[in-house]
Parts: sequence; C-alpha cells; structure tokens
Amino acid sequence: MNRFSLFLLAAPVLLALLMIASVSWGPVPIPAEVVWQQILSAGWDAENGPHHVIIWQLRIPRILLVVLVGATLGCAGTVFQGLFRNPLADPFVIGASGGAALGAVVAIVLGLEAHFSGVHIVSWLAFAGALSAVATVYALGGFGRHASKVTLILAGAAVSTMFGAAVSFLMLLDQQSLQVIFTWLMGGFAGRSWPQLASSWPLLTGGLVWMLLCARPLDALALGEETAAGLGLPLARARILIVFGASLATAAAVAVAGIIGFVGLIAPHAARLLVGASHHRVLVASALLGSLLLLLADNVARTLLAPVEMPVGIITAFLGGPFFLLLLRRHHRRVGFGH
Amino acid sequence: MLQALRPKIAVLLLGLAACPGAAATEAAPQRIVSLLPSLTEILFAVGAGDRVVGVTTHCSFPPEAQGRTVVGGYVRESMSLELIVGLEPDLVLAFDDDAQTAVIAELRRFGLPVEAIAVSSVQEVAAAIRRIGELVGRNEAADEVAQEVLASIEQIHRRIDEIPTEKRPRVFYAIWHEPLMTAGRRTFIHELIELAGGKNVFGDVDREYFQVSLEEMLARDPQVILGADSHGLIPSLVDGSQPGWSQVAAIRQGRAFGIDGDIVSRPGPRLGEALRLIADRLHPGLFSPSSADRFRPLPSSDP
Repeated sequence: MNRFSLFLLAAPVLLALLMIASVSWGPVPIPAEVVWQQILSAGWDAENGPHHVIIWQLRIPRILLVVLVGATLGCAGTVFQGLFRNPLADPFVIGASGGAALGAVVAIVLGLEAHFSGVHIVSWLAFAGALSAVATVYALGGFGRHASKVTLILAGAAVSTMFGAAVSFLMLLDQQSLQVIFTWLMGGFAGRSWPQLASSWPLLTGGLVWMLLCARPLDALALGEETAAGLGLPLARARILIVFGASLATAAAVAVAGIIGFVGLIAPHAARLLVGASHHRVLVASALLGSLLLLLADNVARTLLAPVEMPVGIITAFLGGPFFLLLLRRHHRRVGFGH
Repeated sequence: MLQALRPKIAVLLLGLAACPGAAATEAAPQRIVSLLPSLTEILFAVGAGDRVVGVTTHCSFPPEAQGRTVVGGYVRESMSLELIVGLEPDLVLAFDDDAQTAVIAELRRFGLPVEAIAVSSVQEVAAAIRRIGELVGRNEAADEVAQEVLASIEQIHRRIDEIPTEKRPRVFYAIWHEPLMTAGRRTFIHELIELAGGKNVFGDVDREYFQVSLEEMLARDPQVILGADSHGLIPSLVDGSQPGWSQVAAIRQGRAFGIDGDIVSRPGPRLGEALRLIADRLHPGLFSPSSADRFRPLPSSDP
C-alpha cells in the first residue's frame, strides 16, 4: 500500500471522527447520549426542542459548511501555487479573496437581491471580483520561468490593499451595513445554518470539482512552459480554465464565510509532504487537509471565548502567518530575493 | 367591572407576588433574552428583570443584568445563537435595525418568539417601553415608566424652551479621540444635545457616527465639549496635554466634560437622566439643586 492510498484511507476517517466530535462541542453543553440520539434520529425527530435545534439547525449545517469551505480553500491554494508556480501563493495572498470580498460588498451595499442559476448575486459579484483580482495580479506579477516569486506576492499585496480600501470606502458610504460587513469580512461561520449552506454549496462543489479536474494541466505547467508546449499542451487555454476554477471556488468561499486566510497555504504544503508532488494527489489531499484544518480552527473559534464568537480568520492567521514567513525565509535563502 | 378585577383578586389571593406589584398575566413570558442594552434596561425598569435569562456583553445596567447568561455581542456574527436557543427563551427582544435582521431571521426560523423593538430615537422610547410592558404582562408598570420618561423630557423642555437660540452653546460630542469621531444628525446623542438646549456643531451632517478632522472641529469652535468617561480625551483636554485644542472656546472656558457614555447612548428608561446630565453641563445653574428634587431619583449608574 502506497502513501497516497494510506492517506486516502486515514484522512476521511479522521475527518469523520472530527466532525462527529465537533457536533458534541459547543458553548451549550449537551450530554453525549443526547448528541447520539439526535444524530441517529437523522433530524426526523418531530420534537423541536432546544437540543434538536442546536444540533440540527446550528452545529451540523455549520460543520458541513466548514468542511466544504475548508476543502475549497485548501484546493484553491494548490491550484494557485501550481498556476503561478509559486509556493507562497494562496487565495488570500494572491488577492483573490480581497477581490471576492469587494464584489460581495458591492452587492450588499447596493442591496442587490437576485438569483442567477439558483445562486445569489452576492456570489456572482464575488466571482467577478476574484477574477479581476487574479487577472490583475497575473498581469502585474506574471508567472513562468522569469517571474519572480516575491514580485507575485507584492502584486497580490498591492491588489489586496487596493480592493480593501475600496471595501472600506463603501462601508463609509453605507453605515447601515457597516457592522454587518465588518464582522463578515473578518471571516467566520457564526450563525451560518442550512440557508447559507443551501445557497453556497452549488458553487463550492462546482469549484471544487472544476479544480480537481485541473490536475493534468497543473502537472503540465509544473514541467515548465517549454516542456509543456513541447508536449503539445495548449497552455493559454489551460491557464484560463485554471484561473476560472480557482476564482470561482474562492469567490464561493468568501461569499459565505468572509476572508479566511492561509488555509490555502498550509493545506497544500502539508499535502505535498504527505503524498508527493503529483497534482491529482495533492489536490485531493489538500482538500481533505483544508477541511480538517478549518474544522479544527472553527471549533476553537466558537468555543475559546464563548459566548462571544471569534472570527475563524483570526485563528487561521495565527497559524498561517508564521508558516508563511517560514516559507518566505526558506525560499529567500534558496533562490534569492527577486528571482 | 368585577370581571376586570378578577385577575387582580386572584393574584392577591394566591399571594404569589414575589415583588410588590407583580401582576403576572397567564401567558406572560418567563424566560426572556434581550439582545440590546437599552431593551435590557427597559425590562428591568418595568419589573421584569427577574425573568431575564440572557443578555449581551454590552448589557451593563442595571448591575443585576450582568449576572445573566451572556449570549454574545451585537450582530449575528458575534453572537452565539446556540446559547440563545439553549436558554429556551419564551421571548427574545431584539433591536429593529439592519444590524439584527440576520439574527432575528435565524431565531424565528428555529421557532423562537422574537419581537423586534424600534428604539433608536427619543421619540421611540416611550412606545418601546409600553410595547415591552405589554409583551411581558407589566402594562401598568411600563405605563408609569413611560410617563416618567415623558415627564422628565417635558420638564427639561419647558426650561430649555425659554432659552433663545443665540444662548444655546455650540457642542462637540467626542465619540472617540483617535481617530477623532463625532455624531451626526442621525444619532440619539444629537437628539439629546438639541433637546438639552445645545447646538451640535456637526448636526448638519446627515449621518450617524463619523471621523472628523481636527481642523474642521476647530473651525466650528465648540463652546462645550462632551465625551464619554470611558476614553481618555476629556482628561487630556482638561489638563491641556492635547495639542491644537487650546484655542477652542470650550477649552479656554474650561467647559470640557466627561459624561457616562452608556447613559447617553441608550434610548431607554434613563432618557430623562441622560438629558439632565447634558443639560446640566450646557446650562449650569439652570437646573438648581432644588429643582433637581422634582426629578424622581433614578438608580445610580456607578458600577
């Protein structure tokens, strides 16, 4: 049995266990037998008591959403790292999250209430925002052999800052939504339930599947442009498809949970350590690890300062920030600044 | 007649009245969660405080409120819905405002009885008190509290009304000092300042709270500066350690005052007290100690 099969066996089991454990954790203590009763009743329990509501309306939908968003962010990190051939990339660092946030805030401030293909316009504008951010960074930082790893990060930071300023400006114009936008921007799953899961899962899963299908083109890009072109791969088209998939996934995640940084950075690196470099493996593994990581972080977020909910983005930033700096230092040493 | 009296007689006979004047209606809620400090204050003022089981982190008054289960902050993202549900409330009082639409919708979806109360302006306070009285079966007590609030507004208004516009001081209210933030026309504190016989120097701005430049503040030359006790601006203004402020009329005349920020930011039963607090600073001596006796002493706000 190779390492990948072992991982494929162990990680889902671990994730399932953590999900079940998460159902029993929370600011309201619920006895284990009640938790089991509720889970086994599969929500068909006619009695609508507080435990039923807490488990079936609050904890379970939230956990499912966290797992889905975690997988999406983890996968998006792998895709961005492969696309830009840069180990420091992730949806947050690249500016895709910031772009998605701006799009979503525009929709919120304008009070847009429409659905297209069953998906709320907030998500579509977030997609447009993420796409334009990635396109800008793409144009500024570029990729391929000649692109500098640090330039890309700087371009991402600049784009994030610009989009962030635009968000702040919109918040100033519309004070009514200020508090709502502010807490949403910090990233988190507080109060998310079935309606939020129902409106976000199509895009999240769609983005996830799209990204998983990008394994081949990503492998080709990893070989280097000349080699890939030599093998007759249509690079430009592959890149566009990859950018679309990752932007869609990032936008779906941001629209439902705000900006959550660094999951897309940690998960791919851990995944490569565990299962090697081939993209179809790394994509699957980073999705699973992203779920695990975000679920752990969210459990901390909802219990550490209970009753006050913490934005989960704070916790992932605490974990991911030092990790990012460590990576930066390593690559700085290896390739030198500006190369 | 007799029918109307029957519930009261029943209460008397049962002798269940835990606190004087408690008239529990049959369906009166027994487990109330409040999601806004001013709603909490109203609940306690109308005598339903013993039935409050959940409050927010900001509900600091009356002090007993702090002993209740805290369910979180102000918006859905900072609250624990699970704790609210876990308290099994038979009434949740929420703020009828955009900030709480999300949390109200969620709680209603879980089948909890949520009442959204509009309580952002002076105008709405009396109605909010009466509405809450109805909801918790304390109509008479609520009516009394509402009357008191209206009477104290009226009392101050009568005195202030005599003051000609040119004698009303220009007031700057400092919400925060770094950055310097103040209150525009769409705020409760603006209403209080105007009712207390002052002119909010930023009353022309049709906004809630916003950041202003020091130079804009200087240009409007306030004659009185008010700020919440809880931040450091007022002391530093009084001891002159804030550069740039020395030319402001209020500083030259020693009229920068710290006031209880909680009282003046909550449209609730302490509205009369808030108004008095400000009026006293704007028109010293107008409300002499003897006239102060006419006001019902309200519970002290000191922690």
